[in-house]
Amino acid sequence: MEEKDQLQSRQWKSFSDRSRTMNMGTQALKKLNYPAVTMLLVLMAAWYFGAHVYNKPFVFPYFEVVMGRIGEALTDLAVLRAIGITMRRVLLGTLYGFIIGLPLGMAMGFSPLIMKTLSPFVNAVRQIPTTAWVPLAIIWFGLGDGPTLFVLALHGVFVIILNTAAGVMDINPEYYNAVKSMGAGPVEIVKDVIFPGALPGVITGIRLAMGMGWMTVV
Amino acid sequence: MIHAAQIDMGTDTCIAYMLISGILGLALDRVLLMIESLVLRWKR
Repeated sequence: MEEKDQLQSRQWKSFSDRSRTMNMGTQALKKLNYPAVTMLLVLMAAWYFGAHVYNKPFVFPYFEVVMGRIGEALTDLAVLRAIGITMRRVLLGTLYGFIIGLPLGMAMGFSPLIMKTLSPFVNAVRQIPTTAWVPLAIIWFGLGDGPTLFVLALHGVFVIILNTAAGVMDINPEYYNAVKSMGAGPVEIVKDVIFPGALPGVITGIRLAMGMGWMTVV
Repeated sequence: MIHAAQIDMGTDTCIAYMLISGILGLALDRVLLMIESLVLRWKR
């Protein structure tokens, strides 16, 4: 009798495991971005047939050859190591940009005086092309990771400053009055109003900074 | 790697590395979007 119970419970467990796996598969299928997948397939087909019709692989390489190169690159240890190093640099550069940009952006968004004082400098320095900073960065930080991290942080810091400041300025002034009326001090105002209110802008800034950093470093 | 492919005039390798960097950039952005949806859950 006991053996029969055990067998039944084991069968039930395997059935529930299988149905859970199927549910996860169905959910993944539901979440799939079908228009983008269709677009990708159309582009791949257009590339495949277009390249074969044009038939000049130096100008317009064959789709299957490029896919083969991608396969080779992703199984090459040197390439994987280079990807890891690049990823580390982008993350570190963005982190430095974030550490400098977040307090500056918050201060600029919160205080019109700080905004008035700093915005001409921020808006002037951010227009300087990256390539112009490279020789100076090499002189200041020597060869190696230093100049790369400096350029990445410099790229990211302005995007983070501007988005954070915009996020702080978007906060409804009534929130400040509400927390003040409940007896909140400056620390609570920063912790409970400014930081959460600016967070969407901060995250958008980080996303843009990281994307720009990735483009710059590659 | 892309620069080496450019110097070697390897168009196919160059495009392959461009695609890899695009896909990795997209993956990085997706991770940040996931973090955003976790951190800004209160906003929904």
